[in-house]
Amino acid sequence: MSEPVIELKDVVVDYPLENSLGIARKLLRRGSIRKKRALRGLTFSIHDGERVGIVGHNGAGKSTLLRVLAGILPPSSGQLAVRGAVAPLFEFATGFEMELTGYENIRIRGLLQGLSSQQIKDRMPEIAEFSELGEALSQPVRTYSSGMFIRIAFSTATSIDPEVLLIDEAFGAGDQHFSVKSAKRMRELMAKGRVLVFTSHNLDLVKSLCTRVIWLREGNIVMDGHADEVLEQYRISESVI
Amino acid sequence: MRQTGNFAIDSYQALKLWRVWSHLAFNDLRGRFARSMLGFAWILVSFAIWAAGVGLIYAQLFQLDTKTFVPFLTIGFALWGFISSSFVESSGAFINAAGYVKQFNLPKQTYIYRSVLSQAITLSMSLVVCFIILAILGALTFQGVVFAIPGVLLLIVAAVLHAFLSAYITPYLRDFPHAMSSLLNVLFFVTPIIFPADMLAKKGLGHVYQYNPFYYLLEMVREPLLHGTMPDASIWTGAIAYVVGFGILVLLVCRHLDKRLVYAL
Repeated sequence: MSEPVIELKDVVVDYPLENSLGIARKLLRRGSIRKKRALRGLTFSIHDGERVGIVGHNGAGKSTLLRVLAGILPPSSGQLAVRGAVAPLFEFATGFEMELTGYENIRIRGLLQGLSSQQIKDRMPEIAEFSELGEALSQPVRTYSSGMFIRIAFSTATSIDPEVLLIDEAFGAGDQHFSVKSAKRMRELMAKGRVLVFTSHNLDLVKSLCTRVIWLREGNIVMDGHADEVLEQYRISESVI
Repeated sequence: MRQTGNFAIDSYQALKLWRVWSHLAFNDLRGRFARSMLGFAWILVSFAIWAAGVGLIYAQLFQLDTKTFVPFLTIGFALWGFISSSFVESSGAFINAAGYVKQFNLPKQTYIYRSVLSQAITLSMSLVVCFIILAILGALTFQGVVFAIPGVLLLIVAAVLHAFLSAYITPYLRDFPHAMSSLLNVLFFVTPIIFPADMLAKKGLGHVYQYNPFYYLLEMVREPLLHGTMPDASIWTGAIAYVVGFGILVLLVCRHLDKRLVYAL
């Protein structure tokens, strides 16, 4: 088997809980900061073509894990390797310039994702069309609904044809029609042998898109295997609680 | 371009992303004045009003020659605004870009350059007003402008260093910009900006400005513009020594704070 696209070994993530005074205390060496452990030493690998769903309760560590994979949160300890261009889709409505138009925000997101001005120009018609936002793209995004933010973010992120697509609970606020459309585009990307990792509470969506599911609870991996098996176990444990 | 996690490499790589941070900076300025009537022009208008008003009043107050004092005052004020904002406004560089920092894996120093650029654009617009004032008073010389260029470049380097320190410390210590703001307010009144340096010297208070690093940064630009001459060697050495020293401070502090900064946002 070729080298894994994503490789984690004993990855631990701690969030500091203190405010600035606590940090100042640490700098003056008067004790350490209180921490919340979000990931407790995770080890797994993801290979080309795998479509992995991450499930678990709120607070299980799903979003944290995705941000670690995106290279945004450095682990407190452990090793991480990601080989390939990553397109993250997190946290809509932050990371937008409210006074600027949809088009301008697409440009900014394109630049932040590493596209050149020319590439953005070339892809703009296609991005605009996929978003189906039409006239609204000329309006400042402070007028947008959350579903509209998702359309912009998703259209721009997938236009860079990423090798690794990381999506965090993106389909909650989108409408049914766009969910179907974006799932279709994700399948197209998967067909090109890319890696998809996404978190969702929509277990049917996970089952339809993913070959593998990782079940997280309080920063630990409870189960990691075939989508059907893991989801069945997860559903059982859900109904017991 | 991914962050490498190496502070020096990332700071350099982020420079190469000038297309990104200049785009963001221009959009910031546009956004700041969005939906206002004068828009961009407010920068010029507010500065011009200040210069005219305060300049004339203070000239009377200190019994100084308007022709030399008003340019001195306006240039000093424009430059001081830039120095001040490089500490205070840049303090929010990462915090204001938190949405981007937590979503995209670019070298985060990008957002510092964005902040400094938008302040530099504001500075250049204020300097345009200064040039107009100089021209009206017949004191604008081509030579003066050329000799002021090294000083402006050094000032920009200083501003970037101030911005680095401020942007990195503030997420961990949110009081920092407020403390700096208070400190800078005090410094404004003891730095020769609203009064000429020799006023202090005559009263035996020369050391107040001689040990003030900002005095040297200001003089590097002010002297050429006002007198058309290159600044004195003592001014040069003072300014460069400050920038080098501050650079070392930045390297030590910011490198340490870089890795886990996102956790403080």
